[in-house]
Amino acid sequence: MIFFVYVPLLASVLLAVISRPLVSRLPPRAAARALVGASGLSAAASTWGLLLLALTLLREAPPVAERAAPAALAADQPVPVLVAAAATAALSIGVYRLVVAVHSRRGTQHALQALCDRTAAHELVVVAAAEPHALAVPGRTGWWWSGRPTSPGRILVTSGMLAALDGDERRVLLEHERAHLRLRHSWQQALVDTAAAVNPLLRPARDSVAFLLERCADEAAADAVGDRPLTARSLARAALAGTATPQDSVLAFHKLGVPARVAALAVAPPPARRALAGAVVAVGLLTTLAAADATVAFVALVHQLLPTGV
Amino acid sequence: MSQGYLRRGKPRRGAGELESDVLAALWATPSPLTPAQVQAAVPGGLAYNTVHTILTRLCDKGLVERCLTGRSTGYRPTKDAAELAAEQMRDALGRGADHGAVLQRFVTSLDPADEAALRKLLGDRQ
Repeated sequence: MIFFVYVPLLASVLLAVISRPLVSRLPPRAAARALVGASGLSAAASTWGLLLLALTLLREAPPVAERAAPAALAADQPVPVLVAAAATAALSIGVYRLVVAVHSRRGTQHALQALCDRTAAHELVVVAAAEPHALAVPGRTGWWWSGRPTSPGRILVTSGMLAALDGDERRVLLEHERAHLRLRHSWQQALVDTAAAVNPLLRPARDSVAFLLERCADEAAADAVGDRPLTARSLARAALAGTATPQDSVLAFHKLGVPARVAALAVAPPPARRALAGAVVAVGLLTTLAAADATVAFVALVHQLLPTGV
Repeated sequence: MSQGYLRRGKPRRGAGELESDVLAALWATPSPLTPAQVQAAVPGGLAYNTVHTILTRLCDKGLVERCLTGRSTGYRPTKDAAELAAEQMRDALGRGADHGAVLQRFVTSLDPADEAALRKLLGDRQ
C-alpha cells in the first residue's frame, strides 16, 4: 500500500518535468489533451491516496481500537502515524485550495458574463477602456438541474486593444478568441487549474497547458486567416500595446509568453507523435492503477484490523 | 497592405462574425466611418451591400448609431454601455489576478528583452 500511494506523487513530478519539453514536441492540441488527461488522473489519484493514508489514522480512534483484533493492533503499523498526519494536513490544504480556486474562477466568470449580458447582446462585446485586453468569456452551460438560461460564448475586448491593431490584425484577434470558445478551452483550463489546486506538484503542467491552449488558438487563427506571419505580427503588436500597463501573469515568468508563441508561428507546427502523447496519458493511467491497488491494500488492512466487521 | 492571400483563406464566415468584424473596425477609429470606409477597414473584401446590411443590423441592435459626416452618413459605435462596463471589467479581472491563468487572454506581460525582440519583429516585417 505504502508504495502505491506514492505513485501518483511521483507521476505528478514526472509530469512537471516533461510538460515543458513536451510543449515544443507535440502539436498544441494533442499535447494539451494529453497533459489535461494525465494531470486530471494524477490529481484524482493523489487525492485518493492522501485520503487512504489519512484514514489509517482512524486506527487510533477509540471506537476502532476497542473492537480491533489485538494481534492486528500489536502488529507493525503499515503507515506511520506521522505520515498519516502529514497526509491529513496535505489533504485539508488541498481541499481548501480547491474551494478557493473554484470560487475564484466562478466569481470571475460570472462577473464577466454579467458584464457581457448588460453591455451587448452580441458575439463581440467592446468595453471603452484604453488598456488593451482581449479575452474569451465562455458561455453559460444550461445544466438540466440548474434551470439557468444558457448564453453563447462571447469575446470581450477593450477599445484600446482594437485601436492598437490594423484590420487584418483585428481579424486574427477575433479568430483567436473564437477558437478558444469553439474548442471549449475554458473546460480544459478549469480541469488543470483544479488539478493544480489539489496537487501543487502539477503547477508546471497547468502552466504548460495554459500556454498550449493559447498555441491552439494561435494555430486556429493562423488557419482561419491563412497567414502565419500576420498572426505572429498581430500577437506582437497586441503584446507591445500592453507594455504600458503591466499585467500579472505566471506565463511570462516561465518564458511561456508571447515571444514563445511568436517563435512557434515562425516554424511549422511539430508533427503528430502518437506514441509520445500516448506515453503522457499512460503516466496518468498508471496513477489510476496505483490508486486501485492502494484501495485493495487498504481494504485488506481494514479486514485484518477488524476481522469481525464494524 | 496586400489582401490577396486573405481571399484564399477559409471563406465560410457567419453573419454574426461579420457583424463582429465591422463593429471592431468602427471601435478602432475615433471618428465615424462611412460604409465605404468600413469596407476598406474590414479585411476579406466584403461587398458594399453586405457592409450596408451589417451596419443597418448593428444599428437595429443599438450597437451602432448613424451620424452625418459632411454629405454622407457615417456610423459610430454607441458608447454608453461600453463606458459603464470599463470599471466592471477592471473589477472582474482584478478578482482573478491571484489565481494566475483563470481566463484565456490574448496576450500577457513582457519583460524588456522580449519587448525588444518583438519590436524588431514588427520593424522587420513592416
